[in-house]
Amino acid sequence: MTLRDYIVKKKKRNRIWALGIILFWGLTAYGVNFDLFRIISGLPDMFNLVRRMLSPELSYIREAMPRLLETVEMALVSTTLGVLLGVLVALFTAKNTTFHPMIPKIIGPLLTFFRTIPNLIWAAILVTIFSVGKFPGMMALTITAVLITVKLLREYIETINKNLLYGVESVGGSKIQVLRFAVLPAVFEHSLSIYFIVLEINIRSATILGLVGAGGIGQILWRDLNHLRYDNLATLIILLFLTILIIDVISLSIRKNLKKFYIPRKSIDSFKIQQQKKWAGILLLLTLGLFWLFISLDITLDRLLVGLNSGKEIILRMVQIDLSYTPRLLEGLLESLYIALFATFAGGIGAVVLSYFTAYNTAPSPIVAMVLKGVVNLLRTFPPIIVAIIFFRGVGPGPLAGAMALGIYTLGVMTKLYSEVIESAGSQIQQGIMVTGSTKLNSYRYGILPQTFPNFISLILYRLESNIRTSTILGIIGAGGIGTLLSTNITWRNWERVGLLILGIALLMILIEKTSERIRKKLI
Amino acid sequence: MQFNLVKLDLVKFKRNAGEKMISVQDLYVTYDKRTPALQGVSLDFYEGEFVGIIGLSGSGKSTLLKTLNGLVSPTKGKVFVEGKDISRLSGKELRNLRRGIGFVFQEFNLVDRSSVLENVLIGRLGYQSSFKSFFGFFKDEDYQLAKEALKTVGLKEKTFERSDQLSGGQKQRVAIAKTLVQEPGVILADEPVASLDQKSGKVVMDTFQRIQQKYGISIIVNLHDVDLARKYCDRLVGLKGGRILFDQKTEEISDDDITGLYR
Repeated sequence: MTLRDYIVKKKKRNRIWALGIILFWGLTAYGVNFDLFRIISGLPDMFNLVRRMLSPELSYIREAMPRLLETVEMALVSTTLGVLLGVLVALFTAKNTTFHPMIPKIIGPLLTFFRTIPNLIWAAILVTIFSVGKFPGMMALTITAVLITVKLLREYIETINKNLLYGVESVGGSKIQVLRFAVLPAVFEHSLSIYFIVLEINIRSATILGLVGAGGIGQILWRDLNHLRYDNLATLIILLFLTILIIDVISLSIRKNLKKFYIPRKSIDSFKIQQQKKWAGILLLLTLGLFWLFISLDITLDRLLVGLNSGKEIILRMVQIDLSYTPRLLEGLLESLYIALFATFAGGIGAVVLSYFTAYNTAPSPIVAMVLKGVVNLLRTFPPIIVAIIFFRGVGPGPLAGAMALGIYTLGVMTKLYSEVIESAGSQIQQGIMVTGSTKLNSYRYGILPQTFPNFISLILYRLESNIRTSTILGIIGAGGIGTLLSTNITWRNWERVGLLILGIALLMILIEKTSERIRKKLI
Repeated sequence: MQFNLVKLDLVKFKRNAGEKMISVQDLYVTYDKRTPALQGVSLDFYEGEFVGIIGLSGSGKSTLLKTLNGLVSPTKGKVFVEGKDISRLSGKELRNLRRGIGFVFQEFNLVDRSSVLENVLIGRLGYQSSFKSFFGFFKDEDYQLAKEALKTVGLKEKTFERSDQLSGGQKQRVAIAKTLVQEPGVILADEPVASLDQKSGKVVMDTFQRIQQKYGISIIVNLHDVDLARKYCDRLVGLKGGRILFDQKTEEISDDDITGLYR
């Protein structure tokens, strides 16, 4: 191949790629009923809404506070319980630490299936079983906490070097001792940081659980929305923003300092005392935790038993899926998929541009970077399902509102993650290009961007997975996708149809996960 | 399966030097049903010996060592330790055997986040019930042994330091202290100095020598550095492609033998 051929080929390839991307995006835009005119004509309404939100009703705080505390409590209790259980499950299902090689093979796919069901769907189903209140919400949050923990931790455990396990086996240690003295210390730090990751996820989920009646601040949020009390709504959103911010900051600082944490001892005696104190402390915490769990559960034993009984019936009905409903399922799935793809695409492309101004090493000035970092954090604070409600004002309910909300959230998350990648990609590549006399922008375009592009693709694939999961619940408030079908069928207790819908979502999710896993592996 | 326990702080006697301890008979190991690692290895190890196993990487050294305490199971052939076939031992018996055999790894395999003391105490696990050890409670005697072992390897002052704060050579000596509190009859060491610089490698090898001379514990060590092997070992076993090329006293080994090994 001559140089000329190469140039021609490269140009051609670039054009095909660009055309393909534009066509694909156009298709998804069509799928979500994208309508620029509608958005523009809706702008004044949305602007009006935002302006009304700028004068929050501060006296409302007193009424909202108990609900807010309830939300935080739900997130804390369920995260603690879920992560503890999740660590245990992960230890027993990881390939290298399990007791029997068949266990991961049986439980693994089961957990994957359950993980595909969005948190809000769990909550909606549990609410019909255990009635409105905190209990179904906490149960839903615990279930997702367990599932996320298992996924994150099991992969980590499986990367533990075999020799580290041999280190305890070779002194004559039993299987339990291997877990306690080789695996547990190795995963302790990681488990704690998973705890905080899950907490960050759960505090966001807890705010929207109220939409289906599963307790927390979401319940009054939903009420105020229906009553058009935007001043109250603004108060709630400010409260939520502050709460999420505080929890994120605490969690981030703990995760950062975890690595260095170590208490040195001076003598064997003090070491022994420390050991006893440690276990006394753990025992105390456990008792207190159980006590707290007990008092925060607003459910009687009778109600629980009744619930479990009806739960059994519901599961038995769900298993007999109603196949005649398949056309509607496919229709819903396609719309959800369009919403997710449109949002991922729009948000992702926006993030490439925005990241350039947000990363410290590429931004025109540190002040710009700092301001944008604030904006980006604001964008990713709110669950998309809440932002969708704001878009209702402008473009009306439907897939477009959902897609726009999800797109904005994606823009926030992707910009945060990708600008961090750019920052860690380092100044060396940048300098390598700048010394040729090129501009900062060109050092980004020809140095950092190609260097970090595989990271970007990998991040956006993860985001796509998560966006599809979110797009399946947007319909619960009427923002398009399969969620609309799900929530109506749950309300009408058509469990055979719900079973089919959940199965459909699971299959789609697994398909997307496997495909993106394959692409990611190829990239590296 | 119990070895004559060497109480580190009490008894300093020579064991019955020269008695046969481990016997390997016609050993074959194949990984994943395809890759052969050992192809018919037979040899004996005696009490109080300092044996070096040398050869290129991939010659089967590491596999041979790991079959001696049952970390790797042979595809064919047998390993006898003090006259007992280890493939026939129950789980409990195998664990009891292992606690009498120290094992030192190339990459130290310490628990980074734990203190040096906690890492050494791991060596006592074989003597503990699972339940009690789960809470990290050890006997006073265990602490005494750990203290004594750390003194022997010259790291007394590092007892309460976090393990990832140590240098590579120090980490390896902590790993040796861990095997010492097992009160072992033999220490197996898989490339113990391959990840260390020359100077700390020498300190580690000196430590092995001191242990062998002081307590009469046998040392079986995999090395790829022939000079080091010649300097410290009484006897050298050359492995090539999973087969024994030579097995002789160190002073009887010719340069031709060595070149044959690395050709």
